Amino acid sequence: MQNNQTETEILEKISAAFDGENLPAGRLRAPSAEEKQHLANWSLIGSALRHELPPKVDLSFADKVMAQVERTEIDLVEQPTLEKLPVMRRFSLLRKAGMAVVQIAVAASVAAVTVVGWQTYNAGSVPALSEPAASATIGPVSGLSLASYQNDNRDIVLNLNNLAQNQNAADRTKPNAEMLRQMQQKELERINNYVRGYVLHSAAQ
Amino acid sequence: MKMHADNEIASSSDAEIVKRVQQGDVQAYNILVLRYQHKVCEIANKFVNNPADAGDVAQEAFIKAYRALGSFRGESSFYTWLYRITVNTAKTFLEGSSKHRYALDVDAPEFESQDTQGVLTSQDTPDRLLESAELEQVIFDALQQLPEELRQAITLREIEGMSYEDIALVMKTPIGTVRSRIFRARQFIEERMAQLATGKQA
Repeated sequence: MQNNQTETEILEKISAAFDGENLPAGRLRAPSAEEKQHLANWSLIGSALRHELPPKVDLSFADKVMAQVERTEIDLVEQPTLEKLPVMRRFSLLRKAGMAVVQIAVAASVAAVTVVGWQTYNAGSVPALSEPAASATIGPVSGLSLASYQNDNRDIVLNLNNLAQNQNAADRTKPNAEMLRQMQQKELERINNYVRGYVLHSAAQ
Repeated sequence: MKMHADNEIASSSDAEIVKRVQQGDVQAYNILVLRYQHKVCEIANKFVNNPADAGDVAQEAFIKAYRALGSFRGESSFYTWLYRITVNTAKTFLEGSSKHRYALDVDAPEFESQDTQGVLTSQDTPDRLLESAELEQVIFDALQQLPEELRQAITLREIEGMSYEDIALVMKTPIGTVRSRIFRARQFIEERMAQLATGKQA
């Protein structure tokens, strides 16, 4: 009696699993011959109630498919996670990632040098660097001042607040565009001078 | 083709099973085969118009689907995807068989000798074929004989395609009771099916 009840309970669970409900954790086991018979019958009942049965029904169809399935390799495309990979493969992947970072860093450096070079080339007409070197706050190195950026053209400061202070009240609401452009140009020249000095200083070292 | 009354619910249940198969649970695929075997055979039969050939096409479609399940991303329902595979397999079969039939014409008498009641059978795996019209009648008769609560439960599940949770809400009973009622309904109908088989044997 106890055994029979257990069997019924198991079948009830299989019935629910057949409906995709209460699927047990882990992998499903292969059904016994008796369970297969029940599953085939339940499949027939469902299909008949939905009028899905073909004129002739092959009762061994699912068994034949599953027999072939069990001999078939599934083409899983899921990518393995890093933890699941062998140590050597993990190292290889990390090395590739590291190389990518290095390549990006090199590309960024080349781009920076190109920009600096271009700016330096365009700053050819600015006054010589030796002039502000005397007032450098950081000591001169081989006649060049790393402080030239801070000291050159001190009379002009790109500061809109100062600009506003030096103008009439009427001009405050309408800034002088030409003056602003000149200030920007001088500021750019000062930056270029500083960069050129830094590049020459680096080259001298 | 007649579609399931509530295919979306079946799809969500399919998705869970498909995921299991993709994770290597081979036996979970059996649930999908059992769920769609008759539909797939019927689709194949509409193309090839021969139950035995339809069985072969359906079998091949299920194997193809299983092999490719790793690449199934769930953008459509599993059944829609399987349907496409079945139609393509049937078309390929028809293309091949039109060439094959021409070659077989020479040996037509030998070919006919293998034909039993219009159905070709294999010696290795003999098909256990069943006339579905009579079976369907027995199942519907059994459904009418079921107690109301069992009939409602199995109808909501099999015809309406509802989940156990939804059936529990509709019937205002715990899910465990729904599970039990559906199982008992199946048992009852199975007994009537067995009586049909016994009557035939006698």
